[in-house]
Amino acid sequence: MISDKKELIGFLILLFFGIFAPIIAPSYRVQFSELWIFMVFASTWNVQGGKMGYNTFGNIIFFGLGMYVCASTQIAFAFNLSDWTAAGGYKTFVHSIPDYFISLPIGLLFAGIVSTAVALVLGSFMLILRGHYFAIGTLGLGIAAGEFATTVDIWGGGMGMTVPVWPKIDGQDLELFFGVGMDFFFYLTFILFLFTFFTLKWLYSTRFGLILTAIRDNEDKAEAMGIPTMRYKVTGWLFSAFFMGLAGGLFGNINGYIEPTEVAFNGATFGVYMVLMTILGGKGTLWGPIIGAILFQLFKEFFWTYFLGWQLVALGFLIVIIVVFFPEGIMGWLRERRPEWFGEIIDKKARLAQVKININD
Amino acid sequence: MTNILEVNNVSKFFGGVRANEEISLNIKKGSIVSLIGPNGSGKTTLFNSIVGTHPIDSGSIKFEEKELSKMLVHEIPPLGLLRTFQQTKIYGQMSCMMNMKISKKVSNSYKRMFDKLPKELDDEAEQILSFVGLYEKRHLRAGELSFGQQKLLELAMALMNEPKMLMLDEPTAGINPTLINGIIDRLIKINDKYKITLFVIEHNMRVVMNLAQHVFCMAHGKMLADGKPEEIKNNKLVIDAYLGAS
Repeated sequence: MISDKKELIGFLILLFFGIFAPIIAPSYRVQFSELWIFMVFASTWNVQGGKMGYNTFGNIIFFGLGMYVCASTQIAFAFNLSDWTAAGGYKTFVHSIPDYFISLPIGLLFAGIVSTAVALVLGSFMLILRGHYFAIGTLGLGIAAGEFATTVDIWGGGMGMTVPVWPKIDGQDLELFFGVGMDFFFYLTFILFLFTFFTLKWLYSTRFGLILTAIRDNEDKAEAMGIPTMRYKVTGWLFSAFFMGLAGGLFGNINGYIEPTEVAFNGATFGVYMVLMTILGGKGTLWGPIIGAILFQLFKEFFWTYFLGWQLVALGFLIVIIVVFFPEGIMGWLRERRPEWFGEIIDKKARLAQVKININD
Repeated sequence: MTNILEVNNVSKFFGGVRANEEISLNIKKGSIVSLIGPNGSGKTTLFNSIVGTHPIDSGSIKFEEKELSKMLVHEIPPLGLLRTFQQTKIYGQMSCMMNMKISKKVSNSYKRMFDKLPKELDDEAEQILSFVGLYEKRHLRAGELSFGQQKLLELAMALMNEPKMLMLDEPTAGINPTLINGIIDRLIKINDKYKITLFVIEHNMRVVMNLAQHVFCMAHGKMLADGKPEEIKNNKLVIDAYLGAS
């Protein structure tokens, strides 16, 4: 991996923006919050798509599910959920300040737990599939999840539902010592990113992380060496689902409105973005998805702002450029150019053959 | 000596293809046994049956008295029975050292899933890599090695797992002839010093004659003959199977 010094510099840059972005660029708080969420998208997609070699289009399920679970828990904490969705915005429900701040963490916790539990159930049979079959299978699941959500009346069906609004005092948005609702969610998304980043960094440093790469490189071999691969594949998905659930919970609150196929289970945008970002930055590395997310967010904001109407054409070009020029992503390109940075060297020092194998019989 | 592996009347059909028909063989603990036979005679199918890659149609396979035929692929290596592949299977994107370290036998309990890799593994991996002659290349990605080197790496990975019995599918195929002698020496050393029973599929008769104490010969999915290497070499049935009956 890249030396610790480079990693530290990268991390300090992220930390700087994570703390000071709302102060130096207050009008870009939403974009920055989205960036941290995109980093969570790409980093968790990378657990399957990059580390483990399972191209999933199903991770969006956990995002959408987390969004719905978090919002409904927040609402049900203070009101009757079916009244809320039935009112369809005609009647105003307002959370009291304590209700708002108690229900939010409970909602997020539930979002994480429910998403993880669903990943356990889905993973136990979906992960039997391999290669393209898994990709297509999860793609179907993602679409099915969106269609399913349109039938759930308590979530507002196809109409969607609103999310509790940031509490007000005398008609003014509640101001905490660091700012209003948007600042609050900016910092929450950044904390979620840090939580994801360090969990995955730890995960990749353990035997577990190594087994994920072994599954990617040759699953048959890993099984033939006595590794119960299914267990590792499912557990890996649980990690992704947990963080995606939390990301969904936060995103719902930032967006203020949840709709089944356009916001929550939006495989055509977020589901594709997370794959693109990871491939752009470099699959299978810790930093690749982060670099990919930054570049992608810059690209997206630029085209969506200045070339609206052409953004999908630009996105198509980006996909072509990535596939043709950076098939292994930026990190993979670096690794080709500078293998020694990644510890790939031929060691000419001889070593006497001396084998010591202990057979325990 | 006791038998470490007992295969009794194993049959495996793929539709109408009788890949293995009523195969029986016993392998003594600590011996080196070779399995020969023309291409398509069912040798690799037998290997796959033993390690549980596919279910067998009938018969029984016992490793140290334990029935293997109903076990899953990943449940068998922890017992001490390991196989290598004819087409090398290695972890191509990982360095050789990582390939080695991941091959170490670890209990499959949930508690051990998130262990760090112990430092001592480096030393052990380096020793075994130098034993097979890959020490210099240990930091390279395994996928960058030549086919022959990948075969050696696969052997080294198997040794890292400390098996009781090793099933090698053509360990010398694609390897430089001068290196083959080195491999024979190492296989004999592995067997002699560490008492690992070897069961080797091999086409190279020079290797078989130098290595094996006992040879089984298959043809058309059936066990044709077995005996000492010299007996097999002069067995009319075996010669006919390879060259066609005259």
